[in-house]
Amino acid sequence: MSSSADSGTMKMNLMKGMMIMKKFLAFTTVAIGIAAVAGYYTAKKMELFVTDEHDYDDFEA
Amino acid sequence: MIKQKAVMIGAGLANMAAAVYLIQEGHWDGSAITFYSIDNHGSNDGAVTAETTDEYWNQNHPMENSLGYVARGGRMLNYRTYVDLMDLLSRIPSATEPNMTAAEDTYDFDAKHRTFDKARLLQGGKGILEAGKLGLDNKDRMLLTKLVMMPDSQEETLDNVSIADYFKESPHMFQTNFWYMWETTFAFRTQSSAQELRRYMHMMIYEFTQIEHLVGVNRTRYNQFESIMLPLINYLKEQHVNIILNKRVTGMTFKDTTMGDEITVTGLTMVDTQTDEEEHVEIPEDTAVIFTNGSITDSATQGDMDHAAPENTDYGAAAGLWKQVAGQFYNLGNPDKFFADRDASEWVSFTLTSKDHLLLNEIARITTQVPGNALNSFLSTQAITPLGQQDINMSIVVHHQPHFTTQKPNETVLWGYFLYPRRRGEFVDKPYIKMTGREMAEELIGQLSKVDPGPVNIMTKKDAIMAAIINNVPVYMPYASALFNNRAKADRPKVIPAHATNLAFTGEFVEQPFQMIFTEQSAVRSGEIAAYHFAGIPMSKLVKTPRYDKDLKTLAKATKKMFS
Repeated sequence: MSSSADSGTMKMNLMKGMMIMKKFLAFTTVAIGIAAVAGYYTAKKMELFVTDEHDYDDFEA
Repeated sequence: MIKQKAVMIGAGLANMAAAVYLIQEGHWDGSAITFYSIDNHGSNDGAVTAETTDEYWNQNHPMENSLGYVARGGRMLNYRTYVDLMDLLSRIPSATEPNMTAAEDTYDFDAKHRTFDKARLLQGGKGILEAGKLGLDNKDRMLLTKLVMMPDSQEETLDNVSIADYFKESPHMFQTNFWYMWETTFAFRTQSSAQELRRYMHMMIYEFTQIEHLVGVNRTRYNQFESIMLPLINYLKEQHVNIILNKRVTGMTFKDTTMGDEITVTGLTMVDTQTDEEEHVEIPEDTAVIFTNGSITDSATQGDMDHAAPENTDYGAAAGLWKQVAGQFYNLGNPDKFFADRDASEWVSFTLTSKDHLLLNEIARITTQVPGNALNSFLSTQAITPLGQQDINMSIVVHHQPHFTTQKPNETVLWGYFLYPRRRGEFVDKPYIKMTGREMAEELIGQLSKVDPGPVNIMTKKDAIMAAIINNVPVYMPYASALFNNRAKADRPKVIPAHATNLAFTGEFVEQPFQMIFTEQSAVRSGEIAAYHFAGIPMSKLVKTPRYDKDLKTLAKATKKMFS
């Protein structure tokens, strides 16, 4: 095989690899994003961010 | 409303806590506080049996054998979450350890005797079970997860939902190691409140991750009278607080108002329990009334080695007063939910005193753990529940010895209980509630023999063990789990009810945010709230409650445990 054909194949493989990497990164980002949003809304539903600051207001003299 | 004096109805932990906070945080003089009570221990009792025979609930049930010791119950503590209790104990000297506060006393003891239960569940034919495998299926997990995920604001969706109701789609739950441990650690019954179960799951979520070893359990050095109540009594007496015993408050009078919803106590009617004389005490405008409106040991009775504990059908002293009071206003709760359904709340305990260590050594051999605060429960091999399922027959707590300061070195004391006292024994064919102390000891030896790994079975030593027992005191408590009874949120009065000008409620039958009951913690906090209210201290100064149910790491660990 000629060296120019070799480098052309290498370039193609590299580009393919980068595309796969990009797709993987995009997929992972979206998955993490969905998980984060789901986690946030679950935490909100469970009132994890709500403090007990006013729980005893009824008992103030 | 801010007051200058207080009358305490009930001298249990909650009101003693209120008195300490009034003195230390409110800077009240101790002489401004007066207790009226039947006894000086409430449910935190512990004494030489002979000293209990003249107590109010035992007066009509004389004992033939009053030897040995009796502690009707015992509480496991948890430093992580019982922050108000530990705060209270840090403010008073120990009654038994010089130069220590009561808190330092328990920290010191507990550090040297850490709980690590190696035999939490035992079963005939299998011996010690692998209790760490909770045995939950996916449906169980889903229902438990729903409870854990339910925020405080949605708690009322569990109004009048029992645990049996909540898990009706998954009765499998009641055949899991999780349930066997849960019911016997906390004394929940299937008829108990799912709303309270939810509170427990939230407040104790950290301990859920280590439930089989009870690693988070902390204990007092001695029984709870000597380690908790006596330090309080000593401190309050030194502060010149008036503690008037043998008084049963039977009624409150209230100010007449146009709208009828203002709650202002104007007087108390009480009976001397020794002389039956009635008296009336006026409540002036500057005086608060702090009332412990229920007791799980009201109407309790004792048997002895050869007599079963008789059944007392009295409604309950504190609860009877609560009923009289609640009948006059709309927002003071419903005592009948807790004190008119014994089937949901009764159980029987026993305190066994032996003159040697033979039984204790045998238990240590069978359970592979040294005596000291573990909890062991014996699972049946037959179906014994209405649903045709196995369940726990009985549970025992083998204390670190001595459990009482006056115990002789050769004596041992252990405690046990039957959560469902109408079930029949396996070795003594009668309901547990009808068993004498002797029969309960035989039942215990029988249960131990079933799980004994050998080579010499405990049964061969039965005669020697029985001969060494000085006394075994069965105690029937019709309201032992009443605080867990199925309820709606409005069934318990708030610590400071709306429109109340001089009345507060304390103890285990009050409504306060987040707290779970049947712990020393919630009782203390209710007393703290009452004290702060009447002393004009902002509620922002209350001891901060840790919320492990909002800690992501703890939630993750609990999730992992659910799948074990």
